[in-house]
Order: sequence, then C-alpha cells, then structure tokens
Amino acid sequence: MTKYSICLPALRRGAVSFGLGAGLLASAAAAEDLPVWHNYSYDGEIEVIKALMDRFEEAHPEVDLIRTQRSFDDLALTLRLAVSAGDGPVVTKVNQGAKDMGAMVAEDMLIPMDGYISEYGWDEQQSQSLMDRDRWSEDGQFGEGTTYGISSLAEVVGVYYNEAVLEEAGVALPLESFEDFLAALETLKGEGVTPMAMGMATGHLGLHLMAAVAQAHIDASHRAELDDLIYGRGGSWKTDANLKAAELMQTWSTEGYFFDGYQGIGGTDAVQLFVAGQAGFMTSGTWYFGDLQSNPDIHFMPMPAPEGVEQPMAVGGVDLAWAITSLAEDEATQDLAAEFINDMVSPAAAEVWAAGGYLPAAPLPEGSEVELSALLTEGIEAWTSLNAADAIGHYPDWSTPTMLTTIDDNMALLMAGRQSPEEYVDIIDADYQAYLAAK
Amino acid sequence: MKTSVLDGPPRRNLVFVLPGLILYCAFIFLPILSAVGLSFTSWNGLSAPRWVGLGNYIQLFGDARFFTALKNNAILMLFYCVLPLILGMGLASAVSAIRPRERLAVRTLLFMPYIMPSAVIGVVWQWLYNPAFGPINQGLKAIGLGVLAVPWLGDFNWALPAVGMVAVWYYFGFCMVIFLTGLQRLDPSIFEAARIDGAGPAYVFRRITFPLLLPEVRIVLLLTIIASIKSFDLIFTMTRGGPANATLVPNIYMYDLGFQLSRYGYGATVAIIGAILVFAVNYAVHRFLKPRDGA
Amino acid sequence: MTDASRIAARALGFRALVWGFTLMTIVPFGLLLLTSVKSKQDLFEGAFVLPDRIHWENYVTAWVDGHFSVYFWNSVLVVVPVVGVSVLLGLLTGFAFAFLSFPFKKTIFVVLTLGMMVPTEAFIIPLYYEMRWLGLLNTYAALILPQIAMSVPFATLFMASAMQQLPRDILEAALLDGAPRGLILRRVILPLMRPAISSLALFLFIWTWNEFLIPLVLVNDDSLRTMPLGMLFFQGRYTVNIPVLTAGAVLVILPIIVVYLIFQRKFIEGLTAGASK
Repeated sequence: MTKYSICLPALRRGAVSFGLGAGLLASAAAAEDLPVWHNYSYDGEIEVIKALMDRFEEAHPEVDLIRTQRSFDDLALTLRLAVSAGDGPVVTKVNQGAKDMGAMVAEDMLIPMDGYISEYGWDEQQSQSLMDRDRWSEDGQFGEGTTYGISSLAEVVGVYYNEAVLEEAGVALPLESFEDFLAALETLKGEGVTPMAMGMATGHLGLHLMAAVAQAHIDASHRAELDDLIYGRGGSWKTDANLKAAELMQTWSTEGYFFDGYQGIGGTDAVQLFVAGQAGFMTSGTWYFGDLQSNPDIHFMPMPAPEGVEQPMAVGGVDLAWAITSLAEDEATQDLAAEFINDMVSPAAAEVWAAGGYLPAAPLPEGSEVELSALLTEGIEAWTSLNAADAIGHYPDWSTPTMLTTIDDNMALLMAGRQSPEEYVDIIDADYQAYLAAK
Repeated sequence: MKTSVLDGPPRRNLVFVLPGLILYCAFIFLPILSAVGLSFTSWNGLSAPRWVGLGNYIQLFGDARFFTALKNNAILMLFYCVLPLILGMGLASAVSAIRPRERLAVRTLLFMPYIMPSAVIGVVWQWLYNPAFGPINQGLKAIGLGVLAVPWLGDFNWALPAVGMVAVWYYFGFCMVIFLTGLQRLDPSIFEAARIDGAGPAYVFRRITFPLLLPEVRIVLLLTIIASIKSFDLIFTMTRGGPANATLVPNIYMYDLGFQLSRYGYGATVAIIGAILVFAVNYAVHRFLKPRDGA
Repeated sequence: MTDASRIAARALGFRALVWGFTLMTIVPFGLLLLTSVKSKQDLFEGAFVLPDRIHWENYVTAWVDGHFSVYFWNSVLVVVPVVGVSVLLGLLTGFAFAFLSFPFKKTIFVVLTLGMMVPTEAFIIPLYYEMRWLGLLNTYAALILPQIAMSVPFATLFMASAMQQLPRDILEAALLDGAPRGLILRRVILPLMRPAISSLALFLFIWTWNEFLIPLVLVNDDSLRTMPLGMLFFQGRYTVNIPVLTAGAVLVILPIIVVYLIFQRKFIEGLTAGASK
C-alpha cells in the first residue's frame, strides 16, 4: 500500500513533465517562422512549389518557411480545425466556394486582401471575373465584396485526346464540334478501344466530365444565369444542359464507354492508364499537364461546341487561392504573408510554373524565354481564347457547402442506372434550393 | 460480487481505483458527457452552441442516410463478428489435430493480419481490389472467371461485402488464437472421458467444447463488436463511405457531419444513438452468454 | 485399421484446410512484397508477373520522401508510455474490482464499460476542444494521455477477470502470512498474472499502434505523425505510384512484424505457462 502511494505521484509528475517538455518543443518556434499549407500533390507540382519557396527563403534569409503539403480532400478536412485551434498555417491554399472559403470568411478566419491587391497590383495581371471567385460580401454573398484570396494557376477543364490512339482507330482530327466528339467516341468503341478514361473511386473526374459537357451547352452570351447560380443569387439546376449531360453520363456508363470497372478505379489511376495509352479521351483540368506531358501523343482542347452554341463555356477558373489566415495576428506577419503570396503570383513565378508545364494565371513576363511544352502551348491557347470570349465557367461544387458530396454520391447512382437523369437533376437542384432557403 | 479476503476499508481501497479513474474521467468520460450535451444543440464549432432540445433527435428519425448507415453497420457485424467466430472456432478445433510445431507456425501466421494497422490494411486491400491494377481481378480473369471481376469497392452491390471480407480476413485468425488459448485452458481429461464414453466429435463440440469456451466466445464477440464499430478506419481508408453511401456507417456519417459540414451538434446526436445501439448489442451478449461459474 | 486410416485422412483434410486458410492470410503480404520491388512499367504487365530486376529504389523513395523514420519514432514514443502506464493502471483498478469493495463500485464499473462501448468518433470533438483548452494540441501528450485513458476500461476488465481466476488459497495463504496488500499484489499476484499481462500488453500495443483517429484529429504537424497517419498522407501523395506506395506499406509493417515475432514468443510462453499452472 505505502509503496503505491510513493510511486503514484512520481508517475504523475513524470506524465506532467513529459507533457510540458512536448509542449515546449511544439511552441519553440522562431519569430520569423512562416507556416505555409498547400495542396500541390503531383510530382511536377511539388517540384515547382519547392523551387519557388526555396527562392523566397534565399531572398529572405531571416524567414523560415514551414511547408505542409495536403491533398485537396485532406486540406478541406483539416484547415479550418487547425486555424481555429491556433496552430494552423499563416499562409494557406483554400478552395473557393461556400464549403471552404465562404465558411472561413463567415468565421473571420481569413484576412481581407484588397489592400495588398492594390499595393502589389495583382489586379493588373488577373481579370476581375477571375478575382470575383475569391470575393465574399459582409452579408455572405459569394462573388462580390471583399477579396480573400488570389491564385497562382489558371485552370481549364477540357478534353485530352491521345492522337495516336485516335488515328489508329480512324478518327479524323481535328474535332470541330461536340457532335464530332460523340462520333469519335462511337468510332473508338467500334474499334474495341475504351473511348474515355474514367475512375470514380477517388477524385472528381466524373464531376469534371459532366460539368464540362453541361457547360459546353451554355453559350457565353448567356453566362449570367450560370454566374447567378454559382454565386448563390438564385436560379435552377433543372436546365436542358444539365439534363443532357446527365443523360450522356448514364449512357456512357451503362454502354461501356469508360474503363472496365471504372467505379473501383481511382481518379489518379485512371490518369495513369490514360498516359499509358489505354483510352482515347479524358476530360479533366489543366492541372494534369505536368503528368500528361510525358506522353507526346496527348493533346488538349476545350470541349467543342454543340450545334446551336456559338461560344461554349468551359469549366475552369483558377486553382485554390492563396489566403492569409487569422493566425497572422500582427501587421508585420500579414505583410510578410502578403509578400510571400506576391512572390507566388508574380510573373517570375509564372515562368517557373510554365517551365514545369503548368498553366499560370498571371501572364509570362515580356520576352520570356521559357520553353513551353506542346501541351502547355495548347493550354495557353485555350485559356487565352476562352478569356477573350469571357467563356470561363465555374465548378458546380462551389455553389453550396454540401454540393461536392451531393454530386459525387448521386452521380454514382445515376451512372449505375439507379437514378434517372431527371431524378438526378432534381436532387442537385433540391440541394441548392435548400441552401438558398437556409442562407 | 463476493467480498474477498484482501478487502480493506473502502476509503483505502479507493487508492487503487482513483489514478485510472481520474485519467479516464478527464479524457474519456467528460468528453462523452459533453457529446451528450452537444447532441441537444446546434453548433458549428466556433460560435456558441444553440440549444435545440430534442430537435436533432427528431430530425435523425427522419434521416434516410442515418438508417442506411445503421443497416450497413448491421450487415458489417456479420462479417466482423459472426463469420470470424465460426471460422476461428472451426480452425481452432482443426489446428488442435495437427502437430504442435505446425500449430505454432499456423497460429503465428494466422494472427498476423490482426497486428497490422488498419490504415495499411485499407490501403493494401484497396489496391488488391483495384479493377485495373489489382491482383484479384487479374487472377479471376486469368483463370477464366472474368465475369466475377466486378469493380468491388466501386460497385453498389459488392462494396459492402468487399469491405466485410477484409474484416473477416482481419479477424478470423485473431478469433482462432483466442479459442486455441481457451482450448488449452480446458482439462484434457474431459475430452478423454468423453471419448471413452463413445461421444462423437459433433457431440463433444456441442456439449463440451462450446459451452466450456463460452468465456472466450463472449470476449471474442465483445471485441469484434467493438471492432465493427471501429470499422471507421478501414472504411475511411478504403471507400470513405462510398459509392453513394453504399458503405456508409454511423461513424463515417458522424465524421462527415462534424468535420466536413461543421454540424457538430447533429453529428453528436448520430454518435449518441449509435453508441446506445452498440450498448444494447453488447448488453445482449453479456446477458445471453453468461458463463456458468465453474472450472 | 480402417479406423486408423480414416483418422489419418481426416487429419490430412484438417491440415489442408488449415494451411489453405493460412495461405489465404499471407498471400496479400507476398503480393505486397512483390509489388514493392517492381517498376511502374512492370505493374502494367500484371500483378503476378515477376519484375526483370529488383527495384530497391522504391524503398529509398518511400524512406526519404515519406519521412518514415520520423513516423516510426513517433509511434514508439507514443506506444511505450501508453502500454506501460495502461498496464499499471489496469493492474491497480483490476485488483480493486476483483477483490476490493469501495463506494459506487457498480456505478464506476458501468461508467468504465461505457467508455469501451462508445466509439472514439463520438467524443472526438469535445476531446479536441478540451485538448485545445489545455494547450496540448500538437504535442505528444495529445497522443498519449487520451490513449491511456481509452485503455483503462479494457485493461481493468481484462485484469479483473484474470485475477478472479487466480487460486484463492494462494492469496489467503499469503494474507495469513501477514503480508500487506501492496506486497501481495506485487509479490504474489503479479508473477501469477504474467501471462495475462503480456496478452494485455500485446492487445494494447496493437490498438495504440493502429490508432488512427486520435492522431488524425489532435495532431496536424507532420513531425508528430505516427505510422498509420503517415501511411494515409503518404497515400494521398503517391496514389499514382503503386510500387512506391506498397514499399511504404512494407516499411510500416516490417517493424511491427519484427516486434510481433519477438512478442509472440513471449505471448505464447505466457499462455503455456498460464495453462500449466
């Protein structure tokens, strides 16, 4: 008995000093530490972001960047918890839209950036319609008001095609219209080639294909409806374009236009199979440029126009935005964070991204001698012409906090034939109307 | 409980209980109580929780996703508890019949999955099931069973059984080891006597082995039921509840509600109801598999 | 004669059955090992095809880029105190529940069982905010303290039921010698309990090593991540490269298999010792 009463306090003290020691270790950070979280997860992207951050540290020897890499889904999972706990990043990437950026703005977790935008002149490099995607008003209105972020990369969701595979199957290039695209799929299928690369187990390839098809059916002159819908000003998802896209997705799935067993294949694995020449087409974003340029047969173009559409919209915009969190408590830290972000969105950084094969949001500096990959040249071409026509569309999942899950879940049901296209569109619209009603 | 010769004055007895109890209360029981309190509120994790009374509970009983999750977990229990129990007991009986050295090797190998972190198991099986690169479908196609090569984790009908089979693989060796230990605990002379009396193996199993192994059955069920509730890890790494809720269980749903949608109050409600159901199942195991005093 | 051959045939059938299941259990591990030394190109050839040469560089990539040494030591630093302290606490509370009377015994028992039934997910949010309030987020303490607390109910139950099966006459004899209870617990009960303690330690080791949600939520600093968490975030980064991913998986499980084989011998020794007594 007595022996235990001696040993127990010792034990408790041990535990306390252990906790203290660990606590000290965790908080022993220097004043100039700048924790940065980002979502660049592919080998090519990681190389670029590492190079850019090394360069910043060289120019600012007193600053120590603490780099944390999170996948898209993991970032969404942990960012808000970490910031609210006070041990998250000062500078972070954050997904635009109601679920992430909108929620964080509502909770005062992000620092307004308008002052820095005019100070550094970021608005001279990126158009207002792109920067609208990072804006939230006082009363929680998306797409207007204060700016909370800025992006490094431009994004277009378009059609990748493998020229060698298409030519072998006898598909005539170029594809001029959406109908040509559909005909090419038929030809490929007839030749026993998988028409489209698809993997639904992880990632969001299905969402991108469906959104690309749906928005290609919207003429850029009617873009206001789409803008209103995404920015939460109202509208309906029950449109002919969405219905048509849902019908096509179901047909493609049930009639075997995708990889055998695509439901169980991960998104990145599907990309891998596409690189290996196992499918004719893949619809996804320009963020795969770095991975896809290893196969010179792979090319990129915007989703072509269906009959009756002059200038189709293309899903896209910018990548996740750089933002400053509320953990930047004093002005000096905020200024340093802004300086870092300025470095990330500068024309010089754009050059490094372009050299890595990625599509930068800022224009390359005058007289840049960066060697562009064939794929990137096509990407820049698409980006430039789409911007000129004001035809860059939106990611549908930005519209409500639950939309990403709603789309992913119900698309799987739609494609398994367990839901009709009408039912699918109704469910998406119901999610949206419920959000509007609750707002 | 019977008092023991070792008993002393209650106040001095408390010294033995308090250290563990205090730690437990601080980090487990207090959070559980807070979760119960939270289930009566609407809380986004930041601003002050808003009292909604039974609102969350009322909403829950009209929530189709919750019932899907419950049904899935009930099906999973079959794979977590029943199948490993049957397999484990069968194997333990069979293993007793082989040579001791072989027995040791078999036992060591069969127990191996159980020591693996479930995150690794999830990642590995996700790859095994992969329709494009995975060995399972390639193997099936190679032996002419290509029709069976379904997209396992992506298929609405197969995703849940596919996750379940991983659980069977994970736990049957563990069950076997527990039963084997139990068999060793038993006095061999009982079996000797039964054999001399001319009892068949089925009779011996039904009348002697199984009843005497009841303590082990009870502990196996207790542990595997808890494990089936902890199926979170496996499902989180393999399917995250997909496709479209086909492998959704209350824990994943609760996690989605909390961490994805910041609906901590409603998430807590799902947790509480889930915990009550687990409690009921475990109580039933306790009650109906009470071992007779003896041995 | 026919009887003997029938018994022999049945034994053979049992052996085949047992080894069949054993094979099923270890084939995934074999495939894992095989894939971990393949190149990405080899993978397209088929899962069962042997690579033309062994690609050890997958391991280097996983080890260097995957920070597995960091994860490994974190796991050790968490598991050792959790198992040690939990076993000790389990002995004390288990002893109390087996032999002693104290106020609210039944209530405390129910409260403890509750902790075994309620999944961690149910109280992870309050726990998260509690750790935040204590300033322990992102420390080893955040990984260790809740996991000790989580182990207390099982350790108690396990120890109490094992102690109840101890022969009473030995305890009574010891008490008649006039030994104090602490001494009896240490000198008489502890040695008898060795098999049970090693089983308990094995269970707690496995559970703590495998714990996924606590480090997922309470720690977001990569330098504090444990092995399973490292694996998860590793998967996020390397899904495109299955050979490197499988090499990472082997790196995670190899130390556990080694520890298991050492522990297993002790475990089995403990069991046989317990059985012979």
